[in-house]
Amino acid sequence: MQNNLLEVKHLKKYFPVTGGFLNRTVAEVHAADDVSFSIKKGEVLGLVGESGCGKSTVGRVLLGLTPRTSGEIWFDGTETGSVPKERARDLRRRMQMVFQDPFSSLDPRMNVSDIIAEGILAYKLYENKSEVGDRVADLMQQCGLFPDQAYRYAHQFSGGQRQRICIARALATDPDFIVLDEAVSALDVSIQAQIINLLKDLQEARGLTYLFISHDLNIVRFISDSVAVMYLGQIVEYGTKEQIFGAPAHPYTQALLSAAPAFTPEEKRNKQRIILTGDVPSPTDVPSGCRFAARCPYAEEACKAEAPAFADLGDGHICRCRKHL
Amino acid sequence: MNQTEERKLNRRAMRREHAADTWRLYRKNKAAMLGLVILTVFVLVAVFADLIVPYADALQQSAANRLKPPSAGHPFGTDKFGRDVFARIVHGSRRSLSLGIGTTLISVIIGGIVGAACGYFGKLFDSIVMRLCDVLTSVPAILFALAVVAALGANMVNLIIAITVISVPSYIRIVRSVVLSIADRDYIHAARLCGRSDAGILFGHVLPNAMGPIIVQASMNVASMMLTAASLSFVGMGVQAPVPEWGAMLNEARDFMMNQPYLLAFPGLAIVLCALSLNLVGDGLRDALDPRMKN
Repeated sequence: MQNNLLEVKHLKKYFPVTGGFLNRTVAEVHAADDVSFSIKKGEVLGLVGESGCGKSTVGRVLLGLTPRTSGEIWFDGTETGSVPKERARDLRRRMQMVFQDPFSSLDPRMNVSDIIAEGILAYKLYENKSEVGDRVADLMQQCGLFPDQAYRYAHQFSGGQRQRICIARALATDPDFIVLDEAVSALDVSIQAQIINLLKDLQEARGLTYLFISHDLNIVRFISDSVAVMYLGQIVEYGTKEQIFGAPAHPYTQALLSAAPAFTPEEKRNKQRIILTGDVPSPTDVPSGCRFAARCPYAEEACKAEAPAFADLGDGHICRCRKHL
Repeated sequence: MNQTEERKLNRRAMRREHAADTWRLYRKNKAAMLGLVILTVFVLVAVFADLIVPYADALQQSAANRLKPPSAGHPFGTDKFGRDVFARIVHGSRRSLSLGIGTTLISVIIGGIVGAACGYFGKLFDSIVMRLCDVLTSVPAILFALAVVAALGANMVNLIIAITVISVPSYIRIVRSVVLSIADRDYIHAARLCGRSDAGILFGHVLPNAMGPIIVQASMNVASMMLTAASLSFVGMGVQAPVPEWGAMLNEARDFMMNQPYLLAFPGLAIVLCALSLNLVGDGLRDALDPRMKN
């Protein structure tokens, strides 16, 4: 397990719902419930699931933007919650994020150069003005921007260019690990392809490790090495890209895949859609048995009674479903 | 080195272009330009008051010339002590402008910083400050100001303190609510990931983006500050009697409202014009300073 850059163990994040007299906590939203996974150095883990399943929360908790409720996050052999301040700062420098909305993630009152230089200056990576300028120009070039646009403002750029600025900003602190939170979802399909290619090139050139959060299965299939499927705050299936897309084991993964547009003509012919009925249970009141039981076409009585543990399907492919136990 | 020079020039050119854009955008706003012209006239009058009319004229009493309507010698007429109203308005502009603008500036700075801290840090600090604001706003403003002046003594400095104290809570509330909406934007999270400290984020990202509503509120508030100062002057707790001040003049003129309306009209007009011009300038500034309005 030495080459795991990131290891998450039993991560829980509950958001309190306050109300009533004196803002007592009346309920808890189980945004992430016992989430465990690991990412090898230089690999891309795709985290997929429907809206509200907690995938973005996981990303934010990893970077410390939201405090966790419990669990461990090991980054490069260090538990991020229990390191001294100086080390924690260095760890934080090595983890960055690209947000979904390229319009709200850039300060409208700053020019591109200042936005990209912010991390360089705050972490004192370069002190000399001309070195900082060189570094910013270099980053802009690498992300497909023209360095002579450095003093323009974010609103003068298109969505795709803005996302390139966000990527350049994330790279500025020279990170090892980047969380891409729906980083291409807000873009046009043609621009999506450009950004995805840019991300892939950067990853190969710099040996970056990504957590790629998305609901778009085809993009996840293109960029990821392994995939984790989330449902209602839990990971229900985890495996390599080939395992998940070739032989999906969990009924939810199967339904999810059947809903995605076909990848190849052959797939198109063999495609049969699994239509799920019912709604996702409320994350404030999660069912005690299998969380997917209410919508699962194969559900039995036993599923509703007891939450299933992970079934090992071999070669690291695991799935949280009774029928595989 | 050559590249660095080039970059410096590029940055400077962009900054100049940015400033030119701001000015161009401001100039396109006719109302804002009108406001700027009126405000400039007032400021010039206040600065060069002694050159326009000697200060002695504003204090010179003359029983023979009581309550004279406007004439060539006294363009705005004379008050109940026979003093020249024009001279009093010209010299009153100094006090009225510095009271209105000065107290507003101080309140904006204090309210801005405290309000931003409330909205940004939240929790216990926020609760304590907000309850303190509730206490301050629950006492009628004028009574509170009176109490402050009565306790500290009646002079210009204490008047400024009193007016500032009663207006700060409203700024704290406004800034806090704006900051609350900004603090959860992604660019704030991104700045945190970039390693910026809380203070760096507060002054580098949150406050610059909260400036718009603050400028508007401040420009609207100047007039009410002037009037509060005037009411305090009226009850003898503000600017002391013979010293000219618009609000005090307005209050003195109330007794002659029916027969000598010009006594009321000129100081009132001065306050209205001054407040209006500040509002127009504030509106124009907010629009011109927003980088998204350009192009």
